Amino acid sequence: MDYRLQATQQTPAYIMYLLDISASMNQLMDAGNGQEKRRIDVVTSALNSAIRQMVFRSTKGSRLSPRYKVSILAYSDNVFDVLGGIKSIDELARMKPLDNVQTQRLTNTAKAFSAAEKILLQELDKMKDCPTPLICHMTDGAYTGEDPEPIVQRIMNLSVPDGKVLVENIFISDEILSKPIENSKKWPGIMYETVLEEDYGNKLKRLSSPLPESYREMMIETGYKIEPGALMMLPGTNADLVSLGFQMSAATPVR
Amino acid sequence: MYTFYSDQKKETPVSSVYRDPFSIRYGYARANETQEADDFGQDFLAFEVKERSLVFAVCDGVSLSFCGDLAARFLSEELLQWLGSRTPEELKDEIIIKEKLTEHLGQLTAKGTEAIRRHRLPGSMPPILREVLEEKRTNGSETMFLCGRIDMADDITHEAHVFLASSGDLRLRLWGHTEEISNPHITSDTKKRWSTKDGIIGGEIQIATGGMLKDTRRIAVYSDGFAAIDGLKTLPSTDQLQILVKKSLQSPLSDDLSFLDIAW
Repeated sequence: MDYRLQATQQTPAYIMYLLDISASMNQLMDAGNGQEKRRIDVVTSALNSAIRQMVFRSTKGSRLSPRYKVSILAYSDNVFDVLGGIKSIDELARMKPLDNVQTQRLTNTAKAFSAAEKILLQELDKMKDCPTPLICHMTDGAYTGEDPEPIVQRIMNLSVPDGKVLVENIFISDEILSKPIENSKKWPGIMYETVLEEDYGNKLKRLSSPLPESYREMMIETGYKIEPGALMMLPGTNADLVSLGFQMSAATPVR
Repeated sequence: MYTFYSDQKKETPVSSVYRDPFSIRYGYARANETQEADDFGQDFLAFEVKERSLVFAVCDGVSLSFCGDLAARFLSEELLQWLGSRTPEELKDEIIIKEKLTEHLGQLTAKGTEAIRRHRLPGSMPPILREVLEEKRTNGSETMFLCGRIDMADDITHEAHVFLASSGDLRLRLWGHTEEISNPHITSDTKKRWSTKDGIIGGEIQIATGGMLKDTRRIAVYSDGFAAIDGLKTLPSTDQLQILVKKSLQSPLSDDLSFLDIAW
């Protein structure tokens, strides 16, 4: 139970992305270099970078060794399976999954986590020798409809021998922190005791797993300064931090 | 003269050969997934026996670098050539030879970079994979290594001049007349390696030579794919070793595997 199992072709890591595509994702946000972009565009670009990182970490010779399996669920009023099922990284590398993601209306987060739970319950038995699955949830605002907390708590109690299922939250908001983060490379991360400015941010903090040490080591190797005790929660105040969140999701140890 | 160069597209079952005064056992196998994909192994094993001297190199290419199999093959061949062109006397002074080998490894980057530049990627692959590989190409191909030379010095006492050099996570075991000898001079370190772009990275090379190895009568070198034998106090028979190779390859974490055992 220490999140040390390495992802290999025979024991791939499973990452599920839950993307909020509500109408508010059309709002503009800081995209760096004085530019602004739509939130949804920042997210798709960060997710593409995470996929690229998975490809980077899966090469063996000139071949792509399928060390990752991925699902992408986009949600608003309803939940859409963007990839049409779980895909291995070599299959995903041949797709352009994020080209046609369109924003919709509401933010039914409970529905999204319900769909995630259903998939996990179907798949978990096949993952006994694999690294712990991870759900990376990205949202930009409070949920509509049912409270997702009980479902997320149930998910966080599911486990494989490597550890309890990991839940990461990327919360895109301009108001979550009292002070902006100047340099994401030097940022220590959100701790249990970090006070957030938004109630929903505090709720998401409760629904975020502690960052496993093996993931933290990988983040340190790539130049970040995340400190022990940090949670898998990112305040998406700018494109850099959104990107860091997606990079974190793919930091499973690999062979 | 007897020479062995591993074929990175083929398994070599654990085999034995005697070339006076050396009894040698060696084997090479690709990880299961690499065999299934009929791809190149990332390890390389080479040795050469000439008169009463033996040179060898075991390299473990870094799969996250650009085609680690290329660096592994390139460096093995270069190290064998370099070791073969030294004299036993030259290899005895630890400080001087460390300097010379470090300098040589630095000089090899020009030739190594050119070999990497010329390497053609397969025509058909997803654009994102091609982009990632091209990015990796600019950072070079990397490999860990352990190489050495053994020159028989005295046929009656079986004393030999032994020289060993290493960078990275290759396993080295030494035995004297009867028992395994502890070896504080060459230790595993996954951060150290040789790169076609930057030469030695992650720290200095390690050298063991001269008096510190005078009681050695047997050496085994293997890559981490054969970690199954780490805990064995003595090396089993050739048949049993082959069974252990097969078992190692059945593990989900199976990796390429090179093994060399030299006794004199």
